Amino acid sequence: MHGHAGTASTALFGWDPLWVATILFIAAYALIMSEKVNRAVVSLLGAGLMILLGVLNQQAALRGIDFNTLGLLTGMMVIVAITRKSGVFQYVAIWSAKKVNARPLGILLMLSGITALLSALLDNVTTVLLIAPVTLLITEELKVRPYPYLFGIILASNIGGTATLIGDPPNIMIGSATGLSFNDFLLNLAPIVALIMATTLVPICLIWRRDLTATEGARQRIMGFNEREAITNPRLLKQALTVLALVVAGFVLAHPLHLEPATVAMSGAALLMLLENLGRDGEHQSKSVHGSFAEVEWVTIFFFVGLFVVVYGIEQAGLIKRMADALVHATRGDLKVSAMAVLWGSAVLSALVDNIPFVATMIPLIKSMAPVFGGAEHLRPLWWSLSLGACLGGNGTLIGASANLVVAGFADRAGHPIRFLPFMLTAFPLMLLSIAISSVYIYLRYL
Amino acid sequence: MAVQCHGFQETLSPNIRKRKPAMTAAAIMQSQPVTLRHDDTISRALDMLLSHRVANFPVVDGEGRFIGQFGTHCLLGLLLPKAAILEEGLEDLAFLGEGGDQLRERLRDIREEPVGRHVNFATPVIQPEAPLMETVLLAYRHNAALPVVDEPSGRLVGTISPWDLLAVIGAKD
Repeated sequence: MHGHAGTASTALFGWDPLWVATILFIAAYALIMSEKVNRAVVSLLGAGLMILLGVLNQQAALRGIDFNTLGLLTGMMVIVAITRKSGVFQYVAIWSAKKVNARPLGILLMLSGITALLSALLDNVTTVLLIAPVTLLITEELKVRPYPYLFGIILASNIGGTATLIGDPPNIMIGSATGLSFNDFLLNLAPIVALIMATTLVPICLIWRRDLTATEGARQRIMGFNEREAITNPRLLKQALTVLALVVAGFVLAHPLHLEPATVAMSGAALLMLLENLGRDGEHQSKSVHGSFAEVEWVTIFFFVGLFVVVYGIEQAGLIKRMADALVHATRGDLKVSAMAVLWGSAVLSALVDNIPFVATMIPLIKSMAPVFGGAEHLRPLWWSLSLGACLGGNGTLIGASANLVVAGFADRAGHPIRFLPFMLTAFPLMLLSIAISSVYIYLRYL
Repeated sequence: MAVQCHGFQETLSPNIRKRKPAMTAAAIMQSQPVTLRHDDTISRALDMLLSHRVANFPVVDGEGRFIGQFGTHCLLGLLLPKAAILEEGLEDLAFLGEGGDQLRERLRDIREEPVGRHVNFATPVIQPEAPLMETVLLAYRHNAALPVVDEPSGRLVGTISPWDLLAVIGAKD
C-alpha cells in the first residue's frame, strides 16, 4: 500500500518495508564492496527491487534521484572531454616543470600542486588521467623513479578535490542536498585543504629525497621541451578556457542568482559543443558531439541513479532515522563528539570502501539529526566533517578512490607497479595526518 | 619489466583441423623461414629487418620452438617514450622537438639487449594442416606473415606471407 508520498506502509506480500529496504540496502552495499558485479548494475538492480518489492512506487523513486548531482557531473565531464583535446593540460605540466629548471624536487612539488588545483575544478579521475602520462614522460627523460611523483599525484588529486563543490563527488552530493554553495565550499574548505596539501608534501619529499636527483644532461632534455607545441588546437583552447572561466564564474554567482550548479555545468557543456562545432557540416558536428557524449562516464552516472533510489528507499522506510538516533545516542547528542565521529569514521571507511554510497547514506542521516542540534543551520560542522573525512579518506589505501586505481593501473602498464601494501604503509599515516589537521580546524573554527 | 608488443592469440578450432582440405598451410608455406633466436641482439634484429625489408621475424628458442615475433612495430615502440605507447598515454609528442638524437640514444641503450626480452608473445599462429580459407582469413585479419607451428612440439615449421597466399590463389590453372 502506497501513501501520498509514494512510500509504502506495507511492502509486497505484507512484508515490513523497513526490513525489505534494509535487506536490499545491505545486499547492495555488500555486492558493491565485493566488486564481483559492476557497481552500476548493482545499484540499478537494488533500485528496481525497491520498486518491484513495493518499498517505493515509481514516482517516489524518481523524487529520490538528485538530478542536480547528475547534471553537474555530466556537464563537467563533457567540458573536460572537449578541453583535453586542446593539449592544455600537457602544456601546463611541461611549463611547470621548466619553471623549476627541471629540478626533480621542484617538479614533484609543481606536478602535485597542479594536480591539486586541477582536481579542485575538474573530476579527480580525469585530472590524473591527464597528468600521469606527462609525469611518466618527464621522469623517463630525467631517468628518475616515477613512484614518488605518481604517489604525490594520487594524494594531491584527493586533497585538491576536497577544496570545492565540484572537486569530488561527495562534495557535489553534499552541496546539492544541503544547498551549500560553491563559495561556501571554497571559503570553508579551500584554506584547510591548502594547509593539508603543503603539510603532506613535506614527508613525501623527505621520504624520497634520495630519488629526487637528476643529471644536468637529463634536466636539459626537459628544458628543451617546447610546451607551446603541446597545444594541438589553439582555437579550441581559447573556446574551452573561455567557457571554463564562464562556468567557474557561474558557480560563484549561482547562489545569488538562484541557479543550481547543474544548470551552470550543462549550459557550459552545451555552449562549448556549440562553439567547437561552429562552421562544421552536419556530419562532422554529429560525429564530434557523439564523441563528446561518449566521454561521459555513464557507469558512474547510472551508479548514482540507482544509489539515490536505494538510499531514498531506506530513508522512506525509516532506517535512516533509526541510524541517526543510534548515532545521536552514541555521541549523546554532543555536536563536538558527533563532528569528530563523522570526520574520523568517514575517513577510515572511505579508505576501505567506496565513499559515494557511504556519503549518499550519511546525507539523509545527518539531515535527520537537525532537530537534535537546533535546526539545519547548526549542521554545518557535520557537513564539513563529512566532506573532509570522505574525500581525504580516499588517500588511505590504493582502493580508497577511483583516481588511485587509475594511476596504479597506468603505472603498472608502464612497468612501475604501485603495490597495495607499500602504498598503504605510507599513504594511510599521511591520510591520518590530514584528518588530524582537519580535526583541529573543525574544532577551532566551528565547535 | 619490458614493454611487450600487443597482438591477438588465435588458433584454429579442432573440427577445422580434422577436415582434409585440398590445400593446407603446409603446402603453401616457406619451409625454411628466416628467424631470429631469442638471444639475438636488437642490433642484429635491426640489421636483418633493414636487409630483408619485412615487418616481422619469427623468434625461436635453442630447440627451434616458436616463441613469438619481433619486428618493426616492436622496435619503434621501444624507441618511443613509454608514456606515448601505453593505453591512455600521450597522444602527441610534438613538444619533444625533432627528437632524432633522443631516438638514436634510446637505440644505443637497447642495442645489446636480447630480442627475447621484447618479443611479441601474443601473436597469431597457424597449424600445418590448416585449410587455405582459414589461412587467408587469419592473414587478412592480421595483415602479416603467419608463423606455421607444429602443435605438439611447438616447433616453427614455416611461414606464410600474404604474397605466398596471393601467388597460390592467383596461379593460372
